[in-house]
Amino acid sequence: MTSERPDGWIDSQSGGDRVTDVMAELAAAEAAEAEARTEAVLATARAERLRNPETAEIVAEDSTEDSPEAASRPRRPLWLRAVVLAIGALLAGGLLALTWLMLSEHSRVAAHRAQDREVVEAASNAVVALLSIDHGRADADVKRVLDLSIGAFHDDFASRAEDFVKTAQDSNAVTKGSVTAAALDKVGADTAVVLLAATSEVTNSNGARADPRPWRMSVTMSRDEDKWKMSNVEFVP
Amino acid sequence: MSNSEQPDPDHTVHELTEQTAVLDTDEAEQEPLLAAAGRRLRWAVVLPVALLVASVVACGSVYLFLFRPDQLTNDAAQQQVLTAAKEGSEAVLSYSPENLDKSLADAKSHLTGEFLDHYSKFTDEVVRPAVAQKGVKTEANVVRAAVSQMHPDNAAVLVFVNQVTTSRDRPSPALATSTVMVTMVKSGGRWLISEFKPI
Repeated sequence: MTSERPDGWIDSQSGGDRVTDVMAELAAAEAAEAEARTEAVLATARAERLRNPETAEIVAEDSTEDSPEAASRPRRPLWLRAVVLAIGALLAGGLLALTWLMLSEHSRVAAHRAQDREVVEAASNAVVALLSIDHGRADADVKRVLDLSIGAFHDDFASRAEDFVKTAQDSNAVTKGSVTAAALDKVGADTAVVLLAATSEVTNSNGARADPRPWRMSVTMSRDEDKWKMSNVEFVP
Repeated sequence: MSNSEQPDPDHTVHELTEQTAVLDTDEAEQEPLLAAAGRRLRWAVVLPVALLVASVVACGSVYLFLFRPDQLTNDAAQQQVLTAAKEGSEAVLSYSPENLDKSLADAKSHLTGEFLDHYSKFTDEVVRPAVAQKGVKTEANVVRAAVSQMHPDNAAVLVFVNQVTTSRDRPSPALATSTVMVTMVKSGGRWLISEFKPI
């Protein structure tokens, strides 16, 4: 191709200086190498065309596809590619929509679970308060129970609060309650029922301690704005 | 270069480099024509395939790690656990001299693991002799029960049990109340009692 040009040019040189000769030879070698590379590229392209009647572009594309369809069908028109792309896009879109649906369902469930835990925790705290009365601070203890109550239970407990405080003070005893286990029985938007296994331990003024007494309780919780409070307390016989 | 005294060769060197540069660009243009087209098409395929694979992976993992576990612990699943725990607890704590073998076999069908072994041993060593010698008859009734913990393959159920017991020596029914935390495990699609802990 163009390799003749440097040779022709060297022939026309008058002096034939050694350095110029070397330079010319180098240039010629470089040109030859370049030609060889060009030839190689063209040969590869020719070979690809021979192997596949389609253009080299399609060959290049096919080689990146694993689709069996591509292997069995040497020709793939543009409309087919568009259809495959559209189906793929629809599939991806459908899957992402499904993912989004499942995620929103999960967040709904997670919110319910969080509320369930909140109700059970509120019920446990309220029962501990109810079973824990110290004669030394009976007033505060009773007030705490009333703060954690609402509705029928609150009103009932409030009406008996005075007697309750007096009895506690007279007894000179400290009652300490604890919850062993709790489980959510029912839950609605604004009310819930929690089952609790609780114990109360009474310590007399002389330090004598009675065996912990077990209680099986069913506590109805009602929502009071952002808090859950006891609205009914039942001792399961 | 040492041949600065000769202006011509120096000039020719420049020309040569220019010519080689022209050759190089000729060659360089041949390849990118094919490679650029290939690259463009490769991305046109790789990108959609990658997006599709990513959406499959996202959908699959959300289903497997979030949606399915939620389904397996939903209200319906909790009702199943609750029913199994109630029936199992009553079966374990109820027996009579009339059909001892049948009731013990029925109880064992609700149990699994270590608790099954423990129960088998306990009934053989304690219950059978007591029933045979003293005519002990006991009937358990679950008064209240609720799910305390719920997982796809295990759960804990809080059970309030009332048990009425009579014997030849004491014919008048004696009521005993107890609270039990029952651990359930899912085995072959059935919920079985793996632990029975009075609290």
